Amino acid sequence: MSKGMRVTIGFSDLEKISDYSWRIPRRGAMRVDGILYGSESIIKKVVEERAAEQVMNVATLPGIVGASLAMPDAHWGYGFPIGGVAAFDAEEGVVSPGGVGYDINCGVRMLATRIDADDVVNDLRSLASMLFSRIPSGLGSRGSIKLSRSELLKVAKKGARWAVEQGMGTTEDIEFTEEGGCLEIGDLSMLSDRALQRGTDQVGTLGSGNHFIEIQRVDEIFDQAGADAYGLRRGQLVVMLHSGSRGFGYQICDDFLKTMAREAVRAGIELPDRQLACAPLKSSAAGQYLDAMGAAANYAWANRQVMAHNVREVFAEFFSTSPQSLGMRLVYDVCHNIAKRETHLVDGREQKLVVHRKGATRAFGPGERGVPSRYTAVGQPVLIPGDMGRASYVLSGTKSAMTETFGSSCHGAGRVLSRKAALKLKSSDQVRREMEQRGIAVFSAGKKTLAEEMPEAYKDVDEVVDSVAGAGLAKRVARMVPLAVVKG
Amino acid sequence: MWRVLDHTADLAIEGSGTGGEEALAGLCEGLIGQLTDPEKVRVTGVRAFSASGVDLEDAIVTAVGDLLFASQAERWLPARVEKVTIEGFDVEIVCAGGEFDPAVDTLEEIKAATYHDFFFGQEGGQEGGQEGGPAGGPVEDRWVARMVFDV
Repeated sequence: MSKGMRVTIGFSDLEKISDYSWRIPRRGAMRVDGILYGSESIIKKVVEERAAEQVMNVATLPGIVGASLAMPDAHWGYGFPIGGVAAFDAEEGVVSPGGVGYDINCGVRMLATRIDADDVVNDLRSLASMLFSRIPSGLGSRGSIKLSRSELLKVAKKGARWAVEQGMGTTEDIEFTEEGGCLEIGDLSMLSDRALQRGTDQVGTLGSGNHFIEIQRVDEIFDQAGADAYGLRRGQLVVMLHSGSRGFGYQICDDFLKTMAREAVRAGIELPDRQLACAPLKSSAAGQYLDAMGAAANYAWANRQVMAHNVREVFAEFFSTSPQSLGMRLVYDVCHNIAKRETHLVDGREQKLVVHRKGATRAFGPGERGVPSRYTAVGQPVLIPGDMGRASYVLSGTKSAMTETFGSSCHGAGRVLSRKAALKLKSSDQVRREMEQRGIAVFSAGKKTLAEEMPEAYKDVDEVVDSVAGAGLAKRVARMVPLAVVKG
Repeated sequence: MWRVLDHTADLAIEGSGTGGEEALAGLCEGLIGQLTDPEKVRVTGVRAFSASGVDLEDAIVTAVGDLLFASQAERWLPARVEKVTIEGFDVEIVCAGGEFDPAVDTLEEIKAATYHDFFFGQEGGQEGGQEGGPAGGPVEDRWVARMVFDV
């Protein structure tokens, strides 16, 4: 396959493995099979949207191990599909910024509370209004924290720990953040002026698009042991937060796509798509990208840590008490756009890999390294936000995810309507009225955001989670419904 | 002339005209229309966004990316395209615009200009484009510049 040659695939080309997994047999320049996870109806949409073609393109990259994978929420992305997982041998493989995405370490964090949702249902509009006014959101939002370049580099090195050192959080928060909220990185002299410029004033900001803060009620418990471990119970008020590395991460991705395009040519790697630009992991360019990506990942963890601190402050002020007395404990923080050095069992032996998860969540099972000790018996929490009108989920990682998907699961519902189509369907005012009629208070910084993010623009998260659970990649623990939404 | 194309996850804009420069100007006007309300921007000057690339696609994506950076990171809002020049693999886009005024202006967040499904050429797809260009048919004197933006 060479640049410009488009591969095509239809549903009839797939081999059914199980009710929830489908194989794209290796062909042409593919080095491994592709495997798509999802029910038949989900997979038909994945194929229709060309995401399956992107799975095939990823399968052509050097050093790919096992198979090129797509989760049930997969849809078309840049180079790699959103919902794509690909692991590359640490010696013979490549790293690709397109396999991580522009919003490096976009992720989700959930805070539990001791509050019964029914007790405060009449207060939620005011509470969400306070969150909306205190936490900067929307296009290019800038926070109250202004970092000097030297301080920005500390954020980039320390991640969530930086925020905790500034008094914005606790050491327990670090324990319940994936990777402890910090990837170890080396020299950062390669960061561009543009990246540094964009990073100076966006720590503690939500951003726009699908980023949000939601106040939710735990609506259903599926797995009592998991819920007990995670501290969740029916009727409980929880807060979910979705954001990433803001302009700092976008710029790093943009900068390195150019570098990687040159490196791919130098390494003689034929790319079926320019956005798959990559470099051999043994190259210095790959090392530089992994360090820069790590810096953005750390920035994102600091960003979510600062926002979580501000959420706690708002709750404490609103209820005239302390976050501790409200039981505002961090359940977990997961990233879903990242490439990480991990060791997995492949064909019965341990292999060092770089696992790309782009719109996919780590879902490590019981007993795995990296899972907080409190959760080791049940596996790590996998936080799955749905759309703003229906539901979100807490799942737990499984042992079968470790063998099937390098410990990975889906990351959300996945869009089904284009923004243009959504805007044609309803106005933001109409969406706001409909949400409020359903008892969900909504605040949004962007004029078009509510229309673009309407529930109908997304797949039904219940169906996506059914597929993930059906495939054994994660186990349902709890389902939450939105009560109040702050959108970017 | 420009239009927004249907795209599931992100934003696809197509500019068109009787030549390549006009098509690229259309694409940039479309981007400006998605970023802000150009009528409200208080024009105080012009800025040139120039780029050289390993090929024309690279140069165009880089120059449009620079225009985007000005709005997203420097808060300089373009109001209109004054001139586009394409020579070999060198591109220059000159825009009139001014500083973002939060009291008057709106500004949408658009993360990046991407290479994916990029097309630049005459309708019929025989020049400069990649896969997924406009469908075949009789070649007309109509140029198209299409780009997908991450939002």
